Amino acid sequence: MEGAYITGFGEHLEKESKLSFFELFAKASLQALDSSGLSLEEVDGFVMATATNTIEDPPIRNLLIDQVSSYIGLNKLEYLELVDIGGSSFNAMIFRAYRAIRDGLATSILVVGGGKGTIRKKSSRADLVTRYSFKPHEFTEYSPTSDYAMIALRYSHEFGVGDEKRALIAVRERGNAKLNPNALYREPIDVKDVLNSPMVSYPLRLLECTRPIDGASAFILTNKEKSKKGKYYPVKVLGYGEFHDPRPIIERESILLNPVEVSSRKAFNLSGIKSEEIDVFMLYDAFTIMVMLEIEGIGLAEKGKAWKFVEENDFSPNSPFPINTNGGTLNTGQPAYMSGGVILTEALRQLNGVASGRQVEGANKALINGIGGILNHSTTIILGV
Amino acid sequence: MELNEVLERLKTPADSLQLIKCLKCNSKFYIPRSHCPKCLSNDLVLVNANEGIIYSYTIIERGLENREIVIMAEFDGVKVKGNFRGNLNDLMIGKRVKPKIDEGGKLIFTV
Repeated sequence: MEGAYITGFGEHLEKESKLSFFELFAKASLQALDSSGLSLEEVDGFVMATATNTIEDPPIRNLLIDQVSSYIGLNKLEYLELVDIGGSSFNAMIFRAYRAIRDGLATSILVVGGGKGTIRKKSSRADLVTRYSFKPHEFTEYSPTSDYAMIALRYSHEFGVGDEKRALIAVRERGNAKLNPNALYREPIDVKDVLNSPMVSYPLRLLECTRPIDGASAFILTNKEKSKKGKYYPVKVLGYGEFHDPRPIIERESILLNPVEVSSRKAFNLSGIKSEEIDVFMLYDAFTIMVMLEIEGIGLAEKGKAWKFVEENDFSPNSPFPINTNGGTLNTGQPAYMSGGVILTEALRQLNGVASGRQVEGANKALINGIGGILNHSTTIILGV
Repeated sequence: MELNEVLERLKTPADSLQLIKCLKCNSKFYIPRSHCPKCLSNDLVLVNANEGIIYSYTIIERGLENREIVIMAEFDGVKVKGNFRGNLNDLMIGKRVKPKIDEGGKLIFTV
């Protein structure tokens, strides 16, 4: 798949930022632009994603994309798109921008997503992800956490896997976070620490859940001609797949239906690349149970056996299967309830050889998997240099 | 049935839950629609569901003002979410629960 390259990226993350939603988007965007060596005038496409409840009041929901793109300073756009599939939006945005450039609709596209995750504390509804338009009855929940907790419990029930197996995911990721000076949490932990951390929504403990933060991640894609202007290697899109099951979890035959199986299979098939050839895996990790399901969905382990893979592989940059080398968003925090931008940025660092103390030697192929909603969406992208 | 009519009837306080049944393909569903999501028929009726089985559950300890228990229960294969009132020791996948729609239209499960 030739025709477009990721040539710039930028990220601005803060535990709780004084900056507005719009400033966060602009900061990340200008960083990405700067690293690509392109000027703002050269950008003729814009693709964005957010969660509208991560914008300060009053929420601007109509033509939001105009508000954001014009704030940044864009005015001659030949491609414009809003992607709204939660945490899986980032891989989808990269693919859509890639395809637009490949097909000649635009030459240089700015992709950006994020928002203020800390706003929820003050104003958002507890059921922000799963609220149905036609809700038959009222009840109190705290989704997405309470839904993923029920998925984790059902998983344990069906496969006879104890909480300590899931906890090891958090331990592995923390091991990598130690190597990332920008991670929020870097102190080593063991399985006991995870199990003893405060219960959030049984069976998920605090150390199994990401922390909502403020921030944005931005990317520049451009054509071959302009791909050499920046400071990074032009990164190629080698394969992509997506799968969507928009039904609320209660309408699915099983709440363990795994959308990653289809999206990853498509990405592998389209690229002709096998999982053994991947140098770095960045797996969406808002909750530990998601990583278990991704390890199985991608085919690194059989259904119900992710725990065995996690026992045998420590995720570290020097291991045969480096996973979430920045410590994952369990340790960096998650802006706008979407981990997708943070894990994609880490993959680009790895492919460019700029992951300093946690660099995977000779990394030239990375797989990034994004999940959106309550296992509603999965996007898998394979990138390479 | 029109959607608003279905919603009105579902919220009526009762000691049972009402599901929507398609008379054409016999499938049942919980989230109201004016057509069957399987066969698109409009030939729908409401049927009572009196006893469900716990499919999964969670005890929310952080994020809300008070502890809250959410149950996902199955009624003849149809999954429904609501809150649980009762003893924590009764929370177990496979256990039978009874639904109740309270005065506020809230769905409560008890054993």
